[in-house]
Amino acid sequence: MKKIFILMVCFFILAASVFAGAQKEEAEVPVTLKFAGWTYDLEKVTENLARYEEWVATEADTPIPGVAVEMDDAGYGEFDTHITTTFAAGGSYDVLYSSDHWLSKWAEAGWVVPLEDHFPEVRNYIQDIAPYSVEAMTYKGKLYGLPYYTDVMYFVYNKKMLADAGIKAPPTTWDEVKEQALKLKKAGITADPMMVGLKAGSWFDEAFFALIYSEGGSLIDKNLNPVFRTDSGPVYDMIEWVKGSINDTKIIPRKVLEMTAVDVQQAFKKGDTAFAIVPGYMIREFNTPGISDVAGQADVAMMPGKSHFTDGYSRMYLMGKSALREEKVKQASWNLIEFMGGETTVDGTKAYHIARRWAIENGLGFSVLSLWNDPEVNKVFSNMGNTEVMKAQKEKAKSKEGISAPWFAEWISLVRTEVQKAIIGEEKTSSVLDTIKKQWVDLKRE
Amino acid sequence: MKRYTKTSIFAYSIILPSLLFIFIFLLFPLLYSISISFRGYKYGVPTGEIVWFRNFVDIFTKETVAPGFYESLLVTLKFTVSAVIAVVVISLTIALLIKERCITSTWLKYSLLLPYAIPGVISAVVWNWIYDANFGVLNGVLFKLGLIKDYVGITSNPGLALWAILFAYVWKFVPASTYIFSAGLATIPDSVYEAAQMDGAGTFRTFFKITIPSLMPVLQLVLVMQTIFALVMHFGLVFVLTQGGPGSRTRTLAWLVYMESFTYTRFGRGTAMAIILALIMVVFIYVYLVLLNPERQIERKGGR
Repeated sequence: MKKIFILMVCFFILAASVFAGAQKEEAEVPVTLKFAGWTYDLEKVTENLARYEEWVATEADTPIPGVAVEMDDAGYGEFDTHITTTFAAGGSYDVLYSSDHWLSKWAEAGWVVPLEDHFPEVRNYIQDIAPYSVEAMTYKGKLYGLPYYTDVMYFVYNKKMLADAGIKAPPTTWDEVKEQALKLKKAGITADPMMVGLKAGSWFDEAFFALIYSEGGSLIDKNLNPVFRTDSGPVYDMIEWVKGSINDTKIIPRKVLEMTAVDVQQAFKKGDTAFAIVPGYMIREFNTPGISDVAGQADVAMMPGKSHFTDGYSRMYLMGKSALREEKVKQASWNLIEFMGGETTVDGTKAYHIARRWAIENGLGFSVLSLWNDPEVNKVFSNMGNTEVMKAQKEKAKSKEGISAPWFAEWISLVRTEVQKAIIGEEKTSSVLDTIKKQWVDLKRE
Repeated sequence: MKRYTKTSIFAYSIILPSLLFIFIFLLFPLLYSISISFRGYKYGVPTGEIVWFRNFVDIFTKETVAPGFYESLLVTLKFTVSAVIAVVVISLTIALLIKERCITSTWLKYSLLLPYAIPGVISAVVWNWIYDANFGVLNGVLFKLGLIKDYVGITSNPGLALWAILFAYVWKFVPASTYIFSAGLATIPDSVYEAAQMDGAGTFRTFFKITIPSLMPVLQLVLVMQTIFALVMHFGLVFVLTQGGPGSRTRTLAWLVYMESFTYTRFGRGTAMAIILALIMVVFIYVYLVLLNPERQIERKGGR
């Protein structure tokens, strides 16, 4: 009996120590998050991730020690391909960047998960985020992410060039753009008065939607049906306007077909053009002495056109399906998303630290409404251009119509080719619009 | 019953690694690709449905589903034929210049290989800088020579875009063919040329009656190689320089395969297109092998 008792005691001690050891081991197993982003200011991104690793171990609501983040990056133009190939080959990321036009495709494929299903508190952010940005991060009624940065396409002009040509105010309609551009051309101030990046790749979509929205055009309705006319109307008119401006009046050089918004930014900085359509974050450099030849000359005007609307786009942080492999990884992934895109307490201060940092140091736009109340952020943006106009333009920004359709990414890439065909005169605008309408219908039917 | 001797077992064991290599890296991917082309995909995920030849039929029949397939086919053929002709003519010319000692500098001879040694994407990026509409070297030179008033778009010009890609492609692929032709020319005995000279044959007659027939196996090799390259290896240039534009002027089949697979995430249809592209290669190669078969040439001339 004594022997049995001793044996039982030994067994319990052994079992307890094994159990405790396992628990201890579990607590100390380091978490490695796989994070994918595109190549933009990687130095700052790495700093932010390092700061996150410290924060999540100490200050997070649910601290998790030993979290490390491994980052993979690819160029923005190739990012969708990079992610698609990775997931299709069975790989995954725990947290990843996304652009608004990829979300529906990735979500439909099950590669990213709805944040609100796992962390319902994410919906608390909705009241402080611009509606078009919330819409862009929502798929099938569920919120999938938090904003990395959110911006709109702006119409920028060179004040000095306009003044030199005796033009008192920036244009408010596309007819006025043409009129002023011709005046600038005639006065020999610039040979290429206007530029908008229309290379069939990154930034084409934002430029295209901005042009269409500015004239009050609409492409796809809420029920995902195409609503544009193919023989007249704002969509037809804007394509014809661009086509005429390139081929007839030559106020836009044909080389814009091989230029992205980044190339347009460079051209504006060199003083090659007077009017440009660019994403907001690029404006900061225009008025920065040392890196811009036109520092102090750039300003923002409302997008010309009948409605003055523009394209508002969102880049966001999403949670990949692999984050669900373990509760601790899931929590750490959410912490990372919230640290990067949400409001967290760092060094005792509660703020949207990373969004704020991007805004102040890089001029990246944001959809967090309360950030406008930050004096430092306001100061940065007032140096970029007329803050009132920028705010007004943000209010007149719309997310891309049809973006919630999983076939949107495919359709928009077809649109790029078709619109270019119309511009170079390979096909008539009406025939191009017929094609892109039919493509939408066919893709929807599939 | 077949008996395996020690020698045959030894022989098999020697070729086994190569066979394994061929199976793992050639045969298996090929068979796997064919199996993918029979499957349905939606938004990058297999639907689980075996669609057999539907992907192939869709490519040929559904214009909006596989947009611009016929356009792309034409662009591809135009590019391939032009590229193969250009590469063969230029590389053969350079090889002849080397043989005739018009190019004697060793440094020059070896530097001819440089473009081929540069990785495809890097050379595409370099050409992107050369062609750039705002700061490109080509624009700079033309501007300084007074041939243009302002910097112009080259890859955005519908009439120039494909030729700009072709030029960059030829630059990269001429060196390899030049060296193959040089090796081929070195195998033609000088005595044959001396005999022709004694018979009073002129330069052109010698070239067409001696050089070309003697080079036929080499020419066949270069044509097959260059056709395969021209059908697919321009992809890096299209990707970096034009993204298939302007419009559909540079949208080749290789580009369409990429778009179908990785942008539209229709892996089944993308693979089906890749198989069609491979079949086009096979047709080209078959034509070369039949038309340029040296034995056929001899038979045609009444020999044997």
